[in-house]
Amino acid sequence: MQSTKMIRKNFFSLIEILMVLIVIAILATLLLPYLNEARVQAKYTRWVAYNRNLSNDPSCIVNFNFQGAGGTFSAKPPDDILVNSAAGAESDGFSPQFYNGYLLNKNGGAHNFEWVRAGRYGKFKWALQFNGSDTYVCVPTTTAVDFTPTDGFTLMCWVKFDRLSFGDTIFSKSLWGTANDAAAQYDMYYNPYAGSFGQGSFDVDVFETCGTWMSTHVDFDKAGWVHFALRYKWTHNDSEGKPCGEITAFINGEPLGDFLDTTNENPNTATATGYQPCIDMQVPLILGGAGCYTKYWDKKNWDSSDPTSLANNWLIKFNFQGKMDEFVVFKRPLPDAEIFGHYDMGRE
Amino acid sequence: MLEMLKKIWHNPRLRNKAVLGVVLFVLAILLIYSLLTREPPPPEGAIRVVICEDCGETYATRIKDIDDPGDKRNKCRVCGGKLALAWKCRECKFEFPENKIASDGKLDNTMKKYQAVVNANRCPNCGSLATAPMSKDELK
Ligand SMILES: [Zn+2]
Ligand SMILES: [Zn+2]
Repeated sequence: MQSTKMIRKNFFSLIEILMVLIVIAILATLLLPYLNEARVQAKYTRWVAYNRNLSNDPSCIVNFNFQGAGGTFSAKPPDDILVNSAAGAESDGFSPQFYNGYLLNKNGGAHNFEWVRAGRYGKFKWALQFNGSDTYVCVPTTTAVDFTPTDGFTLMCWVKFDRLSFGDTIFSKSLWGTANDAAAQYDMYYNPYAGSFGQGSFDVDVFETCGTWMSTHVDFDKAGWVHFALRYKWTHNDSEGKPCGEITAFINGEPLGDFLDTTNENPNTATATGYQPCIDMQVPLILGGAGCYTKYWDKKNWDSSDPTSLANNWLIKFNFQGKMDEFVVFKRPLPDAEIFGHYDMGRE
Repeated sequence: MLEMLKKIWHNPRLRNKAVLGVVLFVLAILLIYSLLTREPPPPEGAIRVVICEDCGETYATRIKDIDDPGDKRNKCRVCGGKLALAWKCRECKFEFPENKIASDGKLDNTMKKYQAVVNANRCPNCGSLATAPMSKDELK
């Protein structure tokens, strides 16, 4: 009896328990990063499969996964294009490579993009670093991404802002100018005039409507990667035969609710560009900037076979500074649940 | 030496402590090694052209958020002064610091959004609207 008591006392002395705890703590510190890495890699693998599946949706027109061949991490993405993997089976004469995104420099010359292994899944996911001064991506073919007010469409992307700054444009298929020479199909950008900095005030232009959200539920100073979606759904034609539709913006899968129609309701801040639709104008889809014309009105200056010629004819402004690592376009209005699903399957 | 080890080995209490000590030592080495060899994430931010509001120096550097006072990169490399993002006028080639916009800026209700947006960085030298953030390509 005496001896077992002795042994017990020795075995469980405070010092020894502390020592064991220290050993466990050190082991945990050593192993946790590996466990965490395995978890991130599993999420990444799940996302790759999900993203690949999106391409098979017949209404998917653009799917940039910002990865190398086959969406795998091992292959570095090509240096000068975003590869479109969408099948686009619903569109006539569709070929995915017509809708590749060209990495361009608005001053002409070589692009100043950086490919970084710092996407949503850290080192497992590539992301494109936009520099906020001269970088933009241009999808030179417009046919399948030209939408009319009787269409329905959805754009979704994953973005991480370096900082929220004035006019940062995530995507645009618009020309911003004076009333006589501007046009908008769709765009989405940060507008500090509408709310206050850091509060997540965003504007969208869709056809002739400009919508503003004064703030959102997301704190962009802390948000990290953020999921944006813009959806347009044609609902009916009014008594004069004019098509009417429903515009919804989503941040992190949540619809933002009613917006201020800045053309009519928000006289104290800026009013909308809200211009003519640009169906017959060759205005390309731009990621990370918005186009202001120089000579776009004269179609003779447009050479769609040479996307870089744009740089000479356009003044791209409102360049976004931050990272982007996924961008998709669907030619149908996705239901809320599908948009949330895209966010949910892709979150960090 | 050998004598001492033998003594420790034959005393269960000392032996446990010694084994624990060795284990701790090895783990500590492993911990330090793994911390030192961990791959650092790539630096945040993008290469931007900045202009010093104090001495006028213009250069390209990696900037994440120029308004973040905690970021050491946001100080002029020459004089340590306040940096701003550099803008350039396409008409007269004038280079100037980005105009800060008041967050509660109320605008004239006749003003179109586009005009509001471009007016904010009108060239302070010639008044042109054809201005844009400077690219590193434009540095001499
Ligand atoms: Zn200085
Ligand atoms: Zn000027």
